[in-house]
Amino acid sequence: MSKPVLSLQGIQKRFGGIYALHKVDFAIKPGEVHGLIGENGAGKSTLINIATGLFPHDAGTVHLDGHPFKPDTPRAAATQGVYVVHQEADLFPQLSIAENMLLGEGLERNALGLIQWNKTNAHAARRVAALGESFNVRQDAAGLTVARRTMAEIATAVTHKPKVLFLDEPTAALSSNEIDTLFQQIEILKKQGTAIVYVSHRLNEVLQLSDQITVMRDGATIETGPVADWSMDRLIATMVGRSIEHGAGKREVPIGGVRLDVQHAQATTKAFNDITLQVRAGEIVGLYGFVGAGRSEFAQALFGLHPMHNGTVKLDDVPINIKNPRQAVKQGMAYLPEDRLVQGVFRGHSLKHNASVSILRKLSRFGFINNQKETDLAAQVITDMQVRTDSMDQPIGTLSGGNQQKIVFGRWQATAPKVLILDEPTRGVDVGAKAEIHKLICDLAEKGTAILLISSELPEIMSMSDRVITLSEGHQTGEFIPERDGEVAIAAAAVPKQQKDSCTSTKKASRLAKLLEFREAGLFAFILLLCAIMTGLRPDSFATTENFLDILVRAAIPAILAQGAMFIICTGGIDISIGSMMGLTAALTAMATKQGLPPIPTLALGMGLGILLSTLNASLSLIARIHPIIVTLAGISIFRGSMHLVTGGHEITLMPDTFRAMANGTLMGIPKICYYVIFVTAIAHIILRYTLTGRRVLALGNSESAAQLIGLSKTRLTCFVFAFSGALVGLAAILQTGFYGKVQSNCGEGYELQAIAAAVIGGTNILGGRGSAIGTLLGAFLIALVYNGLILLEASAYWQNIFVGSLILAAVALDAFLTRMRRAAQ
Amino acid sequence: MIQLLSRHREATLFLVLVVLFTGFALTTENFLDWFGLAEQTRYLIVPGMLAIPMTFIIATAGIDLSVGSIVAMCGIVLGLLYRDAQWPIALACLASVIAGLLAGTFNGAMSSYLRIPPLVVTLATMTLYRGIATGLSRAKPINQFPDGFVHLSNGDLIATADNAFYLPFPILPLVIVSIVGWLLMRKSWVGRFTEHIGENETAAIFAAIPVAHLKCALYAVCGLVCGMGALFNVALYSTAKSNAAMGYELEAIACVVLGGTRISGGKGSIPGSLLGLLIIGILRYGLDLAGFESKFVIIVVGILLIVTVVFNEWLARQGEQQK
Amino acid sequence: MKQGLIALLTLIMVITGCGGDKSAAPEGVTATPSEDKKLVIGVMPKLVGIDYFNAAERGAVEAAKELGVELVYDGPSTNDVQQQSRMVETWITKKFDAIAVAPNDPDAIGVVLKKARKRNAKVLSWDADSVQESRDFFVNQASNEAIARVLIETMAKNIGPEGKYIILTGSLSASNQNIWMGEMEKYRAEHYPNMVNLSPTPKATEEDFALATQVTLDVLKTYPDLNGIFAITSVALPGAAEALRKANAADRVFLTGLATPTSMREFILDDTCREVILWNVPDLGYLTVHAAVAMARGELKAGDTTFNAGRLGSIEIQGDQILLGDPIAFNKSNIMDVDY
Repeated sequence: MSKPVLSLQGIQKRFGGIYALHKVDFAIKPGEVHGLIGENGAGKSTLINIATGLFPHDAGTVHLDGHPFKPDTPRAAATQGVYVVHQEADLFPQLSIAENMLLGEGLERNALGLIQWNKTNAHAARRVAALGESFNVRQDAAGLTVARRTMAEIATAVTHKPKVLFLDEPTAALSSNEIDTLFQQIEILKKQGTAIVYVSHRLNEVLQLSDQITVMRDGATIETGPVADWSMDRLIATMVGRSIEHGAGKREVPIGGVRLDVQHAQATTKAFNDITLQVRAGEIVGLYGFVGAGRSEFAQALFGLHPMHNGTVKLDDVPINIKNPRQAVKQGMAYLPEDRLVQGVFRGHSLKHNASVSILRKLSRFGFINNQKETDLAAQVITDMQVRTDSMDQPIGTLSGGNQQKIVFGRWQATAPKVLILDEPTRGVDVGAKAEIHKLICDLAEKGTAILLISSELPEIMSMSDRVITLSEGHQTGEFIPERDGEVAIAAAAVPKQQKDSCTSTKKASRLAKLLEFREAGLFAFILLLCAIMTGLRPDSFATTENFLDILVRAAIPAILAQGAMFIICTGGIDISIGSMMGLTAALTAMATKQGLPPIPTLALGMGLGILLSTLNASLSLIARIHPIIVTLAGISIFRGSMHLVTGGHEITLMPDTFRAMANGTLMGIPKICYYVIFVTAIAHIILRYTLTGRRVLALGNSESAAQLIGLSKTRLTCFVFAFSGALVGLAAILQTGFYGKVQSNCGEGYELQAIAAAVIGGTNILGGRGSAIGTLLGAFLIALVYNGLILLEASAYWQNIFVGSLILAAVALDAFLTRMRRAAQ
Repeated sequence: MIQLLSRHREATLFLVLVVLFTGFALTTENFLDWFGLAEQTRYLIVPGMLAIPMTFIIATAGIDLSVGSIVAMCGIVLGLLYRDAQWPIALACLASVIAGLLAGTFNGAMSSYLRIPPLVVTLATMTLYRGIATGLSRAKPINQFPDGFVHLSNGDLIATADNAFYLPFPILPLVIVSIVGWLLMRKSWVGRFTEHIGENETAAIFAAIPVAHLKCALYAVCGLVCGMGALFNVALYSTAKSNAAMGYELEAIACVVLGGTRISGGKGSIPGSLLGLLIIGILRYGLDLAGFESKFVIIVVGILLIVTVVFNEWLARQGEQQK
Repeated sequence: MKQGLIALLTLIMVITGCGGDKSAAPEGVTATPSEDKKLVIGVMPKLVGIDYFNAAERGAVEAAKELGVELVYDGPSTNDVQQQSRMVETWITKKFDAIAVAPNDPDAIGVVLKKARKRNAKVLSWDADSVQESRDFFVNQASNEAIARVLIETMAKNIGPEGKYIILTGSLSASNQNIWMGEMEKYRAEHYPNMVNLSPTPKATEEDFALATQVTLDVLKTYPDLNGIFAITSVALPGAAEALRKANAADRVFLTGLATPTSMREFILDDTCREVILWNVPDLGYLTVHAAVAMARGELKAGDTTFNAGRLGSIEIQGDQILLGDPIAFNKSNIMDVDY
């Protein structure tokens, strides 16, 4: 037999005080499919993350091809041939699928380094076709169903011909056809010698595919053996079989009448279907299922966080219709969320504030918090939960995970709920805390609370529940009494079946998506419409070449600045100091010209100065990690003040004709300044559309975390966009001076708003990730057109700003509306 | 030391203020002249009032760039109703406050319910509201307000017989707004929820905090305070004009950020914002008095803003790392 | 609670820190300046950094040197009355002997100027007037009627008594310009009833040269039968001239207005604009300082009808207005003779 291609020995990993992995030994040979199974939280994902370089391990060794292997980033791991397809695909939603697939490798480029989209798309399409799929790779990734997203990721990974490929729950969202395709791919890869680690809850798939199977439990590898040694029953038994330290379990408490009664509940998103259950006072009902079973979705729908499509909910026999969490709490429901860090705690806030948040209004009179009551409550929670802490005023982020969880639990216990939904209450919690939390659950049950307990840990479910309901892929698959039916039966009912029809992709999305894709066209149409109206109203003055050129000239300087602003906004930043920066640059270059500097060096000087000042903004914001809006807010007054300082408050006039000739006058009947605009727009368009840097800028704005995964440097990209913007500011400053022949002390004032407005109207997403050079140009043109039109129509100058303000507002509102339509359509 | 400073951010600011104050008192002639100090405060009132609701908004990780424009627009509403519609001045004042409330509510609704980033919404309404002010007034100033009204900003609260010592009247409303703001921020669930939203919006939703409603309400109240600010701004110059309160939004934001409220949200400090206001006020006044030209003054204030924010962020991170 | 205390402490600190300052008060009481102490005069333009006020500064400096007084010439960086008010407050505190302000808004500045008078400073307005009771004198570059008359007469001479014109102003809220436009309309209605102002709402150029150019270009298309343009600020006129030059429209549209001669020199020389109206700006600064000093020294009081202003000789006073003289028309013949 050949040697293992990847081996992990004695791996340990701690998060805070808790061992995520404490003893992992794992090896895989080339051409082998190795099934890796275990309950949620057994440590499978941690193992994958260590092997693929997301974070380092604390002890043990990893070898790849016999050499020590310690990648710093997923990108580094990938270059050495170790790939992973995550269960939640981390994508750039506003980039095309083809790009998502190929950006990490650099896309298809020609000799000049420009991206060849046809080739790239064809390349991506080939990969997709190889998977037997046929979806449009030009479509935005956000328009994909989860299944197709996964397929796209798999397609990407497959084409790298990796040495080792981790597939983490690849079939969770796939339909049976897609699964077949996937399996064929796996066979091909296997023949090529790729080692595949296959992680899945679908045990039958694992049994069908694997050569070897390793079972993990509680952060350790328990047993490894060839597939022939395993059966479904033995897998389940090994997976759940345990375990020592489970507390006393549920105390016997009197069970009362039905408190929570759910009939035929169904999610709008189809995350769960037709769930019917009842929970009585004092009863604990366990809700058991794997990832994707719809447990949390169901719980959150009950709590009013998501809309419920169908079904009735009764609380103490009274039908209730809960639309938001506040109503839920009022009715006596409580929900302890699954993801403590994201959904549970306010990290920087004190323990006391975290404990009291849910009943704060009850602790208040006329809106004012009764401090004594709040302190008492927090003290009560700390004592009840046996939270170990010095002071209730310390930030909760300083506590261990277990103690944090106890506080969040205490928060809900304090509302004295009729129904308490616990979503993974003991995940990532140490043993002692777990027992305490279990005791608390029993105490609550004793008081007559109906408890719905969601957990992936079967022993917890077994020991705590009076009844267990199993969910699998959104469907209710059985109801069990733990003592009577045993854990194997429960686990078997929860294991997802392969047959599933998940062809839920909607065609409705595509038309709207198209509308969005051609935003420039829409804008262009709108401009044409305005022009048509204007021509009708003012045929003599409006519809002339001369007027058209005037509008272009008016749009010119803002348009040039807007291209830079657009790039910055694409990364999710903003620069509101460009107007002042332009003033300062204009003053300095004009003075240099007056000293006799020839035009071309002046141009270089201006752009250099712009780059310098703008990079200053960027580095301050990066180093101090402050949002650029604050840095550039200060920049406004600093640059403007400096400008007054260097000019001594004087206007700079009578610029030499050689200098003015750069921007002033016409060339072939068209104002020279227009050529600059076209040139800059073309450059911006090419960079954004056809260079790797441009695409990376967009990727960064789409998702910082995903960008990090493919090894992009935020620092470099941010500096690049600011430098680019700075260069354009310098250019704009010189053009403005050249065109008008003087530098006023208020040069550039207000241009930042025009530039940002042009970019936003042009379809740049203010949150980053989407931008368009052509759109930006059209945006600037539209603004100039409106100003021009208002004058030609002899509209009162008093009302101008209202038009412009409304225009921006309408543009962004339309954008928000379309985005939401698109989301809804998915 | 670092821990001490990061825990008592306001104390640090207070220290800065004392140092500035003492520095100017020792080096600059006439700085301690009571008349000068008292009269200067009149000009800090309106930006100060705006800084209070702005503290709440920034604490939720939002921003409102339209406050200056709302002040101008409400001032025009007040002026037109008083002069042209001949409303009694008190009623016109009420209308101004209501106009502010409406403007703020529009901001809030657009950003909370349509989920357009507040930066964009208020960037647009900054132009829009200013435009409405220009349009309604046809850019002409409105003046000749009654003396009683002008005293809102120019009267004195208490004064000794020889007028050697007195307190300007508008300190009172600023103090009231600040106290209400401070009570809301520190003593009521409104402030608590505000900070929770800024710290972790998802967790706030899961904790049954009515996030969208509360955010909308904060912008609405901010508009309302702008409407009140408009009264004092009009009274201060005895003029309602469409280009009034230009740049107040940046001034208010600068005060808030200087006061230690992080632009990323999570914690708001009303005393901090007031100290920020005083620091900016004293710095500007002191530099003016020391004979620096106005161009130096704006540079220094800009640099101060950056330095403080960088220092604040650094402190916050030091604090986090030590835990 | 702690934070509340701090806020309170701040307030107390501010109060007590300065309450104990009464020792400084006697200085303010003996405000009558002794001759051996150098007088301090503050002159504030509407804004700093534009040609017009830079020219005025030269005259002001000249007068200050001549008279041996200390001159502070500073103003806001934008034409903002809020900043002006705040700066005047500082000047009051610094106990300037005389304060001359070119207000951006007559009523708004009035509030603080009244305070200055109460604090024994001599107060003048110059370039633009403030409300009457807030200042002792107004140093007027030329009476509003005279400016309006010269402008309309110049226009009428060039485009005929039935010509059509429009007006470019600075910001729509600029008070001087609004007054002049009012006077122009009055004079036109009286003397040239058949001349037409095509746009009763003036076109705003926001003291922005580029905008002035763009607006003028649009105006030329909007009103094809336009004969003349008035541009009545120092920024709007060269901006409009630049536009005429770019559009080659100088021979069909007559341009005139108010601006500093140097800023218009190149346009006068190439016939884009044939006549510019302005008063002698350095002299305006010069006169302002002279008047301020005379007032501070007690040589000029309300009710006087003339006063001696250095090289300008005896200057006439009409009521509370100190008049510089009639505006001057600049054209090719005299444009090279002046340096402002």
